[in-house]
Amino acid sequence: MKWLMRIVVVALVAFLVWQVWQRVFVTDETRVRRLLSTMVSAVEKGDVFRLSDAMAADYSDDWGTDKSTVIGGVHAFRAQYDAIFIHLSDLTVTVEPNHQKAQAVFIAKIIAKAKGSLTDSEVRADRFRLYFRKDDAGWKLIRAESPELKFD
Amino acid sequence: MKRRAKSLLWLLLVGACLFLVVRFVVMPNVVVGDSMSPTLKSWDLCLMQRVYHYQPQRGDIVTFRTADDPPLYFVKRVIALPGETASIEHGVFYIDGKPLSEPYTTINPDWQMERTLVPEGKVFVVGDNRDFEREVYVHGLVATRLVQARLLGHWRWKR
Repeated sequence: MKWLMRIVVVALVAFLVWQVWQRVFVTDETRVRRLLSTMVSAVEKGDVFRLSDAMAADYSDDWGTDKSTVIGGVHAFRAQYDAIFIHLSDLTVTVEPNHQKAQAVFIAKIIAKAKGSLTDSEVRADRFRLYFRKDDAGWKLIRAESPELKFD
Repeated sequence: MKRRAKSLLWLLLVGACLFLVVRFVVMPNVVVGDSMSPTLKSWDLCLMQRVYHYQPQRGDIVTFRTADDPPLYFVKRVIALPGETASIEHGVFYIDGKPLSEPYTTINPDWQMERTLVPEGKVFVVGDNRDFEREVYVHGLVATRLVQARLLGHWRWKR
C-alpha cells in the first residue's frame, strides 16, 4: 500500500512538473512545429481523425477546398499507396507578437510507394505556407497556400 | 606529442581541401524521385560539377534551384537552348522543327506541347521519365542563372 502511494505521488509530481514545463518553457513556435509534425504523421498513416483534430472548422486553402474535402482527399490519396513518406525541409515558423496567429513556410517532399510496387516511388515537391490560429484547444491550421514555383 | 600535432594538422588540411572542393568544384547529390528515370533513379548518388556561368549544352543533366525562398532543387535534362523553339508531337520533341533523337528515354505518345520559343538566358528542361502525364513533372523554361551544377557521373545503390 505504501509503495502504491509512493508511485501515485511520483506520477502526480511528474505530471505537474510536465505541465509546468509545457506552460513555462515550451514556446508557441515549438507547439506549431509539433502540430506540423503531428499532421505529417497523420497524413503518412492515413489517420484522418488526428488530421481533423489539427484543423480548424473554418479551414480554407488556395484550391478552394474546405476541411471535410481535405480530409476526404487525404483518405483517398492514402488509399492509393502502400506507404507514404513526407519530408519537410527549410521550415520557418513565425509567431505574431500577440501569440494568437502563426505562419509556417516549408518545402514538403512526398515519396510514395504505389500499391504492389517494390521499388517505384513517386515524388512530389512543393513549397507551402500554412497559417495557424490559437484557440482554447490549442493551435489549429486555418489556411494552406502553395505559391507557384519561380524559374525566372 | 609533436607527431600527434602533425597528424592533426594534416587531417585539418585534408578536411579543409575537401570542404573547398565540395563547396566550389564538385558536389555530391542524392536523387529523390523518378522523374529522371531510367537515367537516374531515386536514391542514386550523383557527382555534380558546380557551374557559375552556365553555358547551355543540349543533353546536359543539370541541377537547378527555383527563385523562391526557400528554394526547391531539381535535376533535369536540357533539351532546348536559347533562341531555339521546342515542341512535342505525339511524344517526340522537335527542336526548331526537327525531331530530337532521345535514345535515353521512351516515347510517350500522349505528350503534346505547342511550339515554345526559348528566350535568351533560359533553357528548356525536362525529365527523362515520360511514363507519366506531362503535367505531373516540373519541366519547361528555366533561367540559366538558376543552374547550379552539371552531372559528371552517378552511382546506383543496390536495391
